[in-house]
Amino acid sequence: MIPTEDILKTLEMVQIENLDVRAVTLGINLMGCADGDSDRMLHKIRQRIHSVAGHLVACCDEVSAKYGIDIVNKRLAVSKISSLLEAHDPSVCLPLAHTLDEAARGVAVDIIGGYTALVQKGFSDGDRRLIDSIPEVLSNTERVCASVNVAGTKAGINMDAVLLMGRQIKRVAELTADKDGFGAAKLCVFANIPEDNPFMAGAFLGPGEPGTVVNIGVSGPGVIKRALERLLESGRRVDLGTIAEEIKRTSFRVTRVGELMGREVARKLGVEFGVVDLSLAPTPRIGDSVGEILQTMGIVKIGAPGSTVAVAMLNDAVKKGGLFASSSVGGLSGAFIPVSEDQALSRAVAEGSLTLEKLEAMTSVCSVGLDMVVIPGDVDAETISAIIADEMAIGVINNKTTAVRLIPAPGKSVGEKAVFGGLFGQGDVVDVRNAGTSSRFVAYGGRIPAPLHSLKN
Amino acid sequence: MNTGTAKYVINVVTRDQVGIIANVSDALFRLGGNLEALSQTVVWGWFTMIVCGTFPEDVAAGDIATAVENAGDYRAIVLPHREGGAQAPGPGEPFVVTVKGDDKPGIVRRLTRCFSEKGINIDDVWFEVHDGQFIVIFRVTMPPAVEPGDLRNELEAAARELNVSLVVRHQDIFVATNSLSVHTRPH
Repeated sequence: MIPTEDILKTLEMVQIENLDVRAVTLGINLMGCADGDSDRMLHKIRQRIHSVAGHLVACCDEVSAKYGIDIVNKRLAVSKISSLLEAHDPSVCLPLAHTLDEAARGVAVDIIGGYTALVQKGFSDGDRRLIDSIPEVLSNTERVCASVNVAGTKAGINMDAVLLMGRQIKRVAELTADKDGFGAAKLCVFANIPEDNPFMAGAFLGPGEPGTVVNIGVSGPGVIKRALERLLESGRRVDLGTIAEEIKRTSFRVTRVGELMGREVARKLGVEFGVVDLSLAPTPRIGDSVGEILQTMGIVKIGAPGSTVAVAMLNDAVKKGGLFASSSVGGLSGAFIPVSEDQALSRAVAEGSLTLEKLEAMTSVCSVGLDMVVIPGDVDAETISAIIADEMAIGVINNKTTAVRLIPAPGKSVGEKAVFGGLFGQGDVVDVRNAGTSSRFVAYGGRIPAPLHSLKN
Repeated sequence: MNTGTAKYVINVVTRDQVGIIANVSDALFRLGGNLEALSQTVVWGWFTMIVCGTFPEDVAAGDIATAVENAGDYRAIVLPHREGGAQAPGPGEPFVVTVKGDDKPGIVRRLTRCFSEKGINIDDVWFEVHDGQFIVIFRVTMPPAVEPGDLRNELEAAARELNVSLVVRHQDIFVATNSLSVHTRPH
């Protein structure tokens, strides 16, 4: 019998502290839809998505009702679309993206990831077609998300791809200028992209994954913040070891919710259960913020000295608690710091305490990178590429995933705000210092070789 | 029943204080009794326990009640135990129903009537009123024939009439977040 106080604690987590399952992402391999006839291929894609994902939302709602816990986002991640484009000319790209968009709408899913290319060592014809089409696709579809892996620890950094992606990010933002460049919020550039990530915009079904699989993204910044507040109010003598322990315990509880509900959704859908992604994913809601956890830990101004070590400790403790709670952990699994989606981080940018450089430092010890960062619309493409290259270097050298999701908001400059709405939130424009002074470096192109795997100092 | 022995169920009520179980068990031991099950709780400072035990055949229920009541300022009810007779709840899924709101008469009556009419057994209940606010937690077993959504709709309608908040959740969510197991029972 579960003790009453444990029932009350769980109820508090759910009802007051914003505990939910952030994402149930259904991975679908579309390679079986490959066909030299584009109309037939698009028809097969529609059929495949409808047959596998037709009941996804109903299953999620049923499991959600049983446990009384929201599943906030139901999403699809398909196998990389660049492979389907190998045998087609560029004119197929937009109709294919529309097919994905409509198929997602047809199964009541708000986002579909997998408009993806993996080019860390070079481009295939399909990769080129996909990357070239990204601005048109993201500005003409509602639900499609794109991702491009340009670097890897074993491959190095494809600087030709980095250069190209800087231009594409800028172009996407310009084509969606009426929404403050929102199209760029649906585009991620990666190093060491995970094959089983359930979080958008970077989710896709990797080549080593099952044909269909459910991956789960848990949530819980609010739960961890409240647990730390209770610890600090308890009157107990608290040191940083105690705080790490409390984060670990709370992460265990949060992960368990994802594990339980994810396995049940997978069983109901008749597909494999993949992983629980332990990432702490904030939302723009007050009380659901990674930044607020750092403040509760004693970093009053996020971005101040101490911010990096605090987020490193948080990230590590979250993983330790989560790993014990689930036998199948994967994806990104770390604390996210997506600026516009986290009201405390967003405020820190507005107040000037959190700079691009400090964000970059923090991303070297947490997940996932420079995420949802709004920069001035007049920053040149080469500078965006240089920012991407810096972030890729952190991932490649440290053997971890890093990503860049920058929004160069057209017509906006420092002191102004870009408003996206919903889970994407709103963000103050972050200053990019020394813009325009790295162009010669990134313009060399080529591939930065893979790093040493020994002599690590 | 073993030859030469008899089983009894003993209920003891008294104001809570240190030593009640020691005194009662001592009295039962002196009668030659062997305790086989015991559960206790305290509500509003009132201690109550239920004891099941085996006694020599020549010990009568009245002897046990007298011995317990003479062991302290205790009230005892003693009933002979016979196998069978109890209607054990059938199979079903364990759910937890939590209700919160302003205290007023009739809330438990209204909600438990819903359970009873649908054949839902209450396995355990915890109820507390604090500063005019009450919270009650029912642990129930929902028979397979009951559709959880229907029960939820009915209970939520009752909660709206009573102006209280109510949530129905499968017990596994509490097991998963508070123990090393994930499920109440293996799938």
